[in-house]
Amino acid sequence: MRSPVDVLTGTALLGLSVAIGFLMRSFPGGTLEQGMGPAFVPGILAVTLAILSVLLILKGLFFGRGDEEEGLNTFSFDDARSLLRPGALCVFVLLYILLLPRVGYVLSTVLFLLAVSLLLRARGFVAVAIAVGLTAGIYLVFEVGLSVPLPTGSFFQG
Amino acid sequence: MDGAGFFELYTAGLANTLRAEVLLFSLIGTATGLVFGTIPGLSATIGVAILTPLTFSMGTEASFALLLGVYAGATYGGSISAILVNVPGTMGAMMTSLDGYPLTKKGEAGRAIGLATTSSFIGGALSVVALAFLAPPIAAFAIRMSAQEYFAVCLFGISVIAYISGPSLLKGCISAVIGLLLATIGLDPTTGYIRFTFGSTELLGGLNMIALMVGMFGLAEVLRLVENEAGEMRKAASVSRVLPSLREFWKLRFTLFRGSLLGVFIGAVPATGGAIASIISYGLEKRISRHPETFGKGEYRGIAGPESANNAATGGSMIPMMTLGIPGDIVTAILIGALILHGLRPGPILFRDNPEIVSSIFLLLMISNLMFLFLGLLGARYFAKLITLPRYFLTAIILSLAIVGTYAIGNSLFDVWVLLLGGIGGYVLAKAGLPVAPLILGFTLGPLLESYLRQALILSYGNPLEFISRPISATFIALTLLVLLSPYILQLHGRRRKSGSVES
Repeated sequence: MRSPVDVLTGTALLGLSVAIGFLMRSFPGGTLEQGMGPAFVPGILAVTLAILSVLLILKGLFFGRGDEEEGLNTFSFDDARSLLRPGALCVFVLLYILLLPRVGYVLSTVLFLLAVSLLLRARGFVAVAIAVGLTAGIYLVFEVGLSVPLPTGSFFQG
Repeated sequence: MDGAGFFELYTAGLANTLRAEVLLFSLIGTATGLVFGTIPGLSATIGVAILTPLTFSMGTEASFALLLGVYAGATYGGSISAILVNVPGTMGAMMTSLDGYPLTKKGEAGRAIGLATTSSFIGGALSVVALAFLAPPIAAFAIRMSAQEYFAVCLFGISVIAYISGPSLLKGCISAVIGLLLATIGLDPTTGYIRFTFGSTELLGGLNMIALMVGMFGLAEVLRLVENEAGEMRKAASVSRVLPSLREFWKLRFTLFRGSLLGVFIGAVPATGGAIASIISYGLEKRISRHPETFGKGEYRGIAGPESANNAATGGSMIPMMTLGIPGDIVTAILIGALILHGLRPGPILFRDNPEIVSSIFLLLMISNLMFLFLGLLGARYFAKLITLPRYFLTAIILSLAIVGTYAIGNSLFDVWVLLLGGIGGYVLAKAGLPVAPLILGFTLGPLLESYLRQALILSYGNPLEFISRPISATFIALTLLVLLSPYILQLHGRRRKSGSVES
C-alpha cells in the first residue's frame, strides 16, 4: 500500500460513519414540506463521510500522496518518539482537569504548571517561579479583578 | 437607507469607543497581537481563540478593542521575525522573509521593518475604509436574501476552504464533513429532537464553539510545539531604526495599492485570508516587475506588496462576517463566536439594531492599525527579543490562559474537557494530513447551513428546485460545484494540452 496512514484514517472514518448511522437509526425522517426531520442532515453527512472515507482508503492503497503532500507535517510510524512529550502533556491536562474540582484552582494550577515546565526542561527553581507566579497572576486577574469564580475544591470545603 | 441612518453607522459608536478603558484594551490587544505574531508557532488565530473566552465579563467595545487589536497586531507581527531571522512568525509573513531577510543580511534590517510596518498599516487602514463603505450596502442587500441564498453562500464558503486548506481537496472535504457532523450534536433547533448527546445535559446546547476552537488551535499547536527538543531561537540581529525615505515610498505607491486591493478582495471571499493574499501579491509583483531578478535579494516591492495584502485581508474578511454572518477567514469565525458571546448576531440585523456596535468595530479596527504602526515603528526591536524566549515559558502561559479562559465562559469543567478532546483531535487529525480549518468552519457554519436548508424547504413548500431557480442561490451553488470539481477539470485540461502538443 502506498500510504498506510491514509488507509488507517480512511478505515477509522468509515467505521465512524457506520457508527453514526447506527446511532441515528431511530431519528425521524420527516417530509420535504415540513423541512425534513432531524435525521436528514446527519444522514446526508454520514453517507458523504462514508463515501469520502472509501475514496481515502482507495487513495491510500493505490495512489499514494501527490507531490504536494510530501513534506507535510504528517505522521510516519518511524517518528513515534516525537509523540512522547505531547502525550505527556495531554496526560498532565487530564490530571489537571480531574484535580480542579477536588483541590481547587490554586493548588491544581501550581502543580500543573510545575509539571509542564519541568517536562520542557526548565530548571527546578525557574519552574517553581513560573508555576507560582503565573497562578498568582491569573488568580488576581480573574477572581479579584474580573470577579470570575474559580474552582475551590471539595477537599478544602468543610 | 435614509441620510440619518447612513452616518449613524459611522458615528454612533464614537462615544462608546473613544473611552480611556477601551483604548487601553486596544493597546494591550495590539501589543499582545504583536507578541503572538512575532513568535513563530503562534498566530492571530491562537491569540484571538485564547482571549475570546477571557472577554466574557468585559464590555462589548472593550472586548472587541482587545480582539481586533490582537487580529491586526498579530497579522503584522509575523513580519518581524520573518525579516530578522528568516522564520516567518505567521503564515502571512512567509513571503516577507524572501526579501526581508536578505535586507537584514545587508545590514538594512531597520529599513525592512519600517517598510513592512508601514505597508501593513496602509493595507490594513485601506481595508477598514473598504469595510466601512462596502459593508452597509451589502448588509442592506442581504435583507432581501432568503434562506436559499444564505445556504448557497455558506456552502460556497465551505467548499472554498476545503479546497484551499491543503494539497488534498478530498481531505479538506472530509474535515469539513466532520466539522458539520460535530455541529449536529445537541438539540435540533427545528424540531427539538435530541441528537447524539448520550444522555448528557451539558451537550444539549452542543459542543461549546470557543472551547473547541481553543482546543483545536491553541492546545493542538502547543502539542506540536513540544514535539521536538525544546530550544531557544537564534538571537535576533540588532536593528537600527531607519525608515525608507518618502521618495522610496512614493515609488512603491502602485505596489501598495495593488496589494491592498488584492487583500481586501481575497479576504472578502469566505474562508480565504491574508496568507493567500500575500502569496498572490508576491507572485503578481514579481511577474509585472521590469526587473524580476531583484526579487529574493532585498527588493522593496517584495515586502510592500505582500505585507499590505496580508493586513488588507483583515478588513476584507470582516465584510462577509459582519454583513452575512459568514466568516471571511478563521479569525473572523472566532470573532463571530465573540459576538455571540456578547449576545449579538452578525448579519443585516446587527446593522439595523446595533449600529453603534458596527461603528465601534470599524473604529476599533482602524485604531488597532494605528496602534501597531506606532508600536512597530518605535519598538519592533523589543518585540524581536521575544524570539529568544524559552519554550517552557510560552507553553505555560498559553496553556494556563487557555484553560482558565475556557472554564470561565460557563463555569464549566465540561468545556475544559471539550478543550482537551479538541486539542487531541486537532493534533491527531493534523498527523493524518487532515486540515483543521475546514473542520472549524464546518462546525461554525453547520447549524446555519442546516437551518437555512430546512427553512428553505419549508418556505418553498418542500420544493428543492427553488435552490436552482433563484438566480443568486443558483450562482453560488454553481460556484461551489466549480470549486469542488476544479481539480478534475484542471487535470483534464492538462491532459488535453499534453496530448495536443505531442500530436503537433
